Amino acid sequence: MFRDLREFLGKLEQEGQLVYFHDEILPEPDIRAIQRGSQDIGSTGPAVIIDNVKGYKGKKLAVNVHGSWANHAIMMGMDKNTNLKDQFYELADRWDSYPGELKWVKDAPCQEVVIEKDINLYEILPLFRINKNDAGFYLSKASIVTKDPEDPDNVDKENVGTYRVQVQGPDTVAMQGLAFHDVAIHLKKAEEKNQPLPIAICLGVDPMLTFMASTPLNYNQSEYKYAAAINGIPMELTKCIGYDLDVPAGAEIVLEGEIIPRKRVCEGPFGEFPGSYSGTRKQVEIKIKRVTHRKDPIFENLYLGRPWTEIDTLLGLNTCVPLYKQLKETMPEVKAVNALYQHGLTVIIATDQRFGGYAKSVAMRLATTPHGISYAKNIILVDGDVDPFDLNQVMWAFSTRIRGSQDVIVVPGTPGMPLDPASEPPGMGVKVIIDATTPMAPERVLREVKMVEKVDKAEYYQKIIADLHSQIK
Amino acid sequence: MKCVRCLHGDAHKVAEAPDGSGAWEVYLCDRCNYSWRSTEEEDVINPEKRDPWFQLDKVDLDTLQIPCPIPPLVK
Ligand SMILES: [Zn+2]
Repeated sequence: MFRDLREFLGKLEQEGQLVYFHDEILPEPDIRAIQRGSQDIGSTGPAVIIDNVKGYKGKKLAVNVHGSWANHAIMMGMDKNTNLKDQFYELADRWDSYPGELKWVKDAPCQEVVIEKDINLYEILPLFRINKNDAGFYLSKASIVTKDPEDPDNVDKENVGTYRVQVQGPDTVAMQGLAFHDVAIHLKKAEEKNQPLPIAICLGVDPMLTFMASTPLNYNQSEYKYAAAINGIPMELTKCIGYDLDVPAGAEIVLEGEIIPRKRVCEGPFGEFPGSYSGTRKQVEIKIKRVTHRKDPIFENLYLGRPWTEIDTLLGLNTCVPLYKQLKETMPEVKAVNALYQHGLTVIIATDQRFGGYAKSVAMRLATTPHGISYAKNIILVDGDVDPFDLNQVMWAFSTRIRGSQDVIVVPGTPGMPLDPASEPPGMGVKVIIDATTPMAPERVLREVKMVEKVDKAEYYQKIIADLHSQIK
Repeated sequence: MKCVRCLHGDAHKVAEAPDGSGAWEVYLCDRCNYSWRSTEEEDVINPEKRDPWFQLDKVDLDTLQIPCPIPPLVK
């Protein structure tokens, strides 16, 4: 779709989904407030380019780029008014075209400018404190590249992930790696040999790559090849100057460096995706050896805090689709999966039933998928003809189908997600299954109820009426 | 210089506004890695006004959790 961030921003502008903020502001608290405010516009909010930050004259900052479903649809190459369910099915379709093509280019734009001496990240990047009680200035939207040190030529094992990064000195950053992250596998192999792990922190990349970098993929699946497959164009890469790492050729900024082996430093707190602050922990330290960037680079960062924020949109459909695919493998009756809420802590599944009680089996299947084991704690089931992305329909199912005595099941003592404030002790959880489907035989159906049928051609006329409406605006 | 979070004297200036305007300076604590800008809100940069929940002056930094543990060396 888009080769890099600039192409995407150009398209957003063309579609009326990008605004410029030229008034002079302070880094804090103004950038935070602009991010929050643009986010709160909702599903049609624009991206914002800020270009007049006090002390950072001449530097450009892009925020809220993935901040609305309208921008998300444009990223997918779809009409900006496309509803969520249609975006979900489109993504699910394109998912199967993996792997896409990779292409290596020379003289990459991301290396137009190279800084190797006197690196000072506080002066190169227009940094700012995202939430008031964060421990410092964070890079919240970086695509971070590492290789498997024991298999460096295997591009499928090269990992591109989004991990939070705290700037902790002019050429020093700390990064949160959790034990289940792919980068932790690379790091373990390097640290066992007391070797530094080369790392590239890429800022401002093609929006689909940002999207894939935050998708839970298998260890040997390539984020680059997924981005290429879903974009339908080759992913253009180039080699780092100092390391054998592949980075997006069109990245705005690349920080090349290495993780210092066997060292952990004080990092956090940081306002995280559940809407609460993480604690202060000891995390890995990275020395930045080189900064490369495009001329007139755009620094892209993301706001996260009390949901709904940009991260909820960014982690939305890429959480839904893998779960949908995994369920569908053995349970073709599943129609759609909405795992938009806090990276899938709450999941709504629309499914037909093969026989009585089947919806509960679907829930248990979800609870044993790799992501579902620790995340999916509230599992809601609705009939296959209910749109799980339309909460009015979901609440209708709640109101008219749930029999509290048998449709709400609590499974205590299961794995949990440590960043979930309700996970106690962190890492432990409780699964709740709420079955809001219509009972079917051989389950006893107490009363014969006939649902009002769906209205034929309503979707067709919805589009026509919406078009007529937009013409008079 | 005193860190506004851990209150130890390990903080120092790490940056000035790069456009030469003198609009602000950035400070960093080498002990707890807290950083702040001179122009931030009082309840961020003034220890008296900061939310005590986020202060680290009574916390032993050596006992903090390590979410990504260091593996044993392998020859
Ligand atoms: Zn300190």
